[in-house]
Parts: sequence; structure tokens; C-alpha cells
Amino acid sequence: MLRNIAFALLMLTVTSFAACDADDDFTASTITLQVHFRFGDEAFRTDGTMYVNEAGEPFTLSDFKFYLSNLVLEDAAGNRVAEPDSYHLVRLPEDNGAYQISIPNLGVTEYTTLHYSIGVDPTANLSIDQTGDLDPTNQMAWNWNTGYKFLLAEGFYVPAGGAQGLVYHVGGNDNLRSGSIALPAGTGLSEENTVDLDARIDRVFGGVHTISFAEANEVKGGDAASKVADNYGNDFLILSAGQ
Amino acid sequence: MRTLPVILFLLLLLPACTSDAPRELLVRPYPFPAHNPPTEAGIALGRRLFYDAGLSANGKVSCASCHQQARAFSDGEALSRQGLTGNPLVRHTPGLSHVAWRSSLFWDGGVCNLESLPFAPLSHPDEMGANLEEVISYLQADTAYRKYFAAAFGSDTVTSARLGQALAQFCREIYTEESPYDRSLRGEGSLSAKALKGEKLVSRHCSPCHSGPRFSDDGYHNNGLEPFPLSPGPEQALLGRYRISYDSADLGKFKTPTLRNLAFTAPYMHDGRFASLSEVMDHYRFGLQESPTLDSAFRRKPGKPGISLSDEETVAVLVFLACLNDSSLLLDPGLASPTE
Repeated sequence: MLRNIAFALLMLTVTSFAACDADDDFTASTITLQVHFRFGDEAFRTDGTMYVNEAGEPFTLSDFKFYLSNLVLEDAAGNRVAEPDSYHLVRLPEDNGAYQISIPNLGVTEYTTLHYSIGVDPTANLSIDQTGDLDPTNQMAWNWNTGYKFLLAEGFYVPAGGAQGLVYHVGGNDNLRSGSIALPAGTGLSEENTVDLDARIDRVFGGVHTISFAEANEVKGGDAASKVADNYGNDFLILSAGQ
Repeated sequence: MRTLPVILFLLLLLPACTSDAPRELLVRPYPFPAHNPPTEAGIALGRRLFYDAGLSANGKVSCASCHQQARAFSDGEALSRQGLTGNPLVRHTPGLSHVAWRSSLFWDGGVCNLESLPFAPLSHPDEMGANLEEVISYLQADTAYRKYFAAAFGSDTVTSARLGQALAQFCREIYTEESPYDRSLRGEGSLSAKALKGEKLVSRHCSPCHSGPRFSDDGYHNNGLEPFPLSPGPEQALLGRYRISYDSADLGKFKTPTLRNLAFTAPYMHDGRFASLSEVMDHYRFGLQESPTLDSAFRRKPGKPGISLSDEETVAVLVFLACLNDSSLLLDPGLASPTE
């Protein structure tokens, strides 16, 4: 037993030295996802900028955020690495830049696919006494209907009669959506790897179902929420162009 | 040679043993989630939080404002005005007796567990009106609370998760089993002939919903309070289980409350519309409103829906229900304010 431990320690030492010897060598890689907020061809803002949805209704959002969860990286051989405790509340940073998620300590190999969910899986959605991005202080926990808002969009739209409030809180286990994205060649082969993704806010209200704010401007469940979920489950999150 | 791994293992344990206060798990009859087992320290912290008006926005409202021990942890009002604004709440404050056994909470069952519940009354503008971040800061800044959190959770970091867990641990302690009914079950006394007759009638007529040792099936039923269409009320809170399920079959269905401690928890129903048990009995005998989701247990052939009870049988039912009152709950010092 002692001999085994000594051997393991020796191997560890040798490995560490090897890493230190060559400056350009590394034993782990980090993949950083940069989520850009987009609306059609433009950058998306929550500063009062007006947008037009697929139904032709002008609107603006003062807040927009969603949970990106259960990130799994898969290499060409089909090996999968799951990020532990993988719940990210993706929101627009104050500088309007990209929202960053770093996944460190990955093996150095080429990852070809990113698997993800939009929302919170049923196990984590069962109770809101949680920490990190699931902490109820983040205002994404529902306290009257236990679980999390998977996606929150708040603002107002402007029908002919004047501005009307807009509240879309979409959650519920049935509205969890999963997808996968093919990663750019070579992702995971450098010590630091960056993957640019677009969160396409226009696709939340269109794509699969055309959402009309005149039909529903306060949504906290039901059919309208399911339609939004179908929308964010379909090419809402994509690899940014030019990669 | 063989001892080496053992020593290494012990070395690994050492820091954990020295920094963590020992936490002895309690043996309790009630169910609790695996991640939040009851401990003396957790319950003590929860009790402190339950009675602390400092959690509310104006420092005047605690959980105990509406959940008063003297009323079996209810507040005696149809629609409570005990909150921050004094505005009446939308639904009646339920008593908390045996709340640990409930599989979901609130009249529509929207809350899945006691750990998740406190964030609702804490943040509701008409209840405690608190900003959760400020609550955490308030607790973290308090030396005594830091000690309580350390004792309960092994570190003095205050998180909303731990707040919910401690309150849940205390609330699960809210039960006593010293009612005449409980004592008779243990052979420590017997019920009167009238009470026993009432027990049979409850079993026959009420147990489709008020079943089991807690006299609730934990389900949702329309007991004929309103004709359709229902008035939804603020945030659809008067639509019943439909608010959560979005299933039209759930319109007007509310959670079955326990029949324990009814003497202390008047008025009755989700909106507190009945001031006395006599009014409740009159409703079930004569006052049921027809609607598409009315519970089938009330169907009678021929005639209007309702429960068929004579005046004499009704008295027997009330005599039995009185045997489910347990005043020891109101006097249990372990459930009282820790400052008293």
C-alpha cells in the first residue's frame, strides 16, 4: 500500500515538473462561453430601445434573463464532460457586453458539441432553498408556485391606445428545453478557448409560434408560456456568425 | 501498513470535526427532505426567525403575527390584516398544526415544501414586505444570529437557503398529539358514545376528503362555495388549484384542511367566510352551489348536492370534531416565542 502511495506521489511530481518545464505546455483547458444578446441583426439592449416582434408590435424590454443549465461538452469520440452544479442565470451585463461562463479544468481534447438546457431541470426545480445563481435573492424563484422562472422578459409594448405592461415569466417543468450546438473546430485544444454564442431575443417571441402581446401581455404559465418555451427551444441560442 | 490509510482518512476528517459544531440528528415521526434533517440547533434558529419581526420591512411583522400559537398558529381573521400594509390578504391564514405532513402548501398547493415557503410571506408587499437581500444582511450583521447559523449549519454564513431550511425545521415541530382523540387511540381514555357516533359519521360522510390521521387527503376539492363562473380575484388566487395547474377541471378546487384544532382556527374556508362550525355544517347540509367541478362526494340521488345529516347527527359530528382539539399545542413552551 505504502509503495503504491509513494509511486503515485512520484508520478504526480514527475507530471507537475513536466508541466512546469515547457512554457507552452498545459494539462487543462478552459472553455469560456460568451453569450451575446442580439435582436435580429442588432445588439439587444434594455435601455429603452424599441423593437418590433414577429406580430408587428412595437415593444421594449427593461429586463431580460434566462437560465442556461446542465452544460455538457462532448468530444469527437462521444466522451461527455458535464459541468458540475451547472446553473447560469444569463443576463445582460451593465456594460452591455457578453455574459461570460467559464468552464475550467477540462481535459485537453477537441470538443465538438455543447449540450445545454434552457431552464432548470425538475430535480433542481423542486425546491428554492438553493445557493449560487439559483439563490432566491436573484428574483428568479417563484414563491407562490415553487420553482424558477426559466426566462424572464419585462417591459412594455405600445398598442394604438398607449403603452401596456409586458410581463413574461416562463417556467414549469414542461417548459424546460434542451439543445446542442456544434462547436468551432479546435475548441478545447488551447489552454484558453472562447466560444461566442448569440442569444436571439427576437426568437423568444417568434420562430415556432408568433407571440402577440395584444393576446397575452402578462404570462406566468399556461399555453402562452408553452409557446414561448417552444420558441426558446428552437435556435434561440446559436453559435455566433463568423466562427 | 494497514493503519496508514486509516490515519490518512482520519486526517481528512480532522478539519471538519474541529470547525463544525456537532450536529445531532433528531428522531422525528414526520417526513422531511433528506437535505434538511431536523437538529436542535436548526429548530432553535428557525424558532428565533419565526418570531423575529426584524425580518419585515417595518420591523413590526413576524411569521407569528398571522400564525399565533394561541390560535393553533392561525390568526382568527377571515382575511388577515396583520401584515405590513394592513390590507386584507386574498386568502385566509391557515393554522400550522401538523404542517410537516402536508405534501404541498397554500390553499392551491403551489408551494412544494416548507423550505421554499418562507420567501412568499417574507416578500409579499401586504405581508412582511421584505427585500430578501436586506433580510440576509440584517441576519449576517447580527452576532447572535451568526452563532445560531454556525450551530445549525456548521458555518456562520447566512444564505436565503439556510433561512428557509431553519424555518422549515421549526414549522415541522408544530404538532402535538394530546387531543382526546389521540389519547383514546393510545388507550389513555375513551370517547363518549356521542363522539364515537360522530366519528363514524365523519368517516362515512367526510373522509372522502378529510381522511387519515391528519384528517386531510392532501388533495384539492370543490366543496361548492361558489357558482361558476368564478371571480378570479387578485392574481387568480380565488380560482383554486387551477392557478397552478391551468387545468379547467381544477377550477374552484382548494386544498383539504385538517380537522384538527378547529376550535382554535375559526373562521373557516379559503376565504374565511364561515365564522362558526355550525355555519360550515349548514353549508354542507343545505348550501352547496352547483358547478362543473363540484366534488362527486356531494352528489345525491335524487336532489340537490350536499351531505345528508340529521340535526342530531350534525351534533354528533361536532362533538367528535371537538375531540380533535388539542390545547397542549397552544401551551407548548418549545413552540412559543424564545424571548418570552
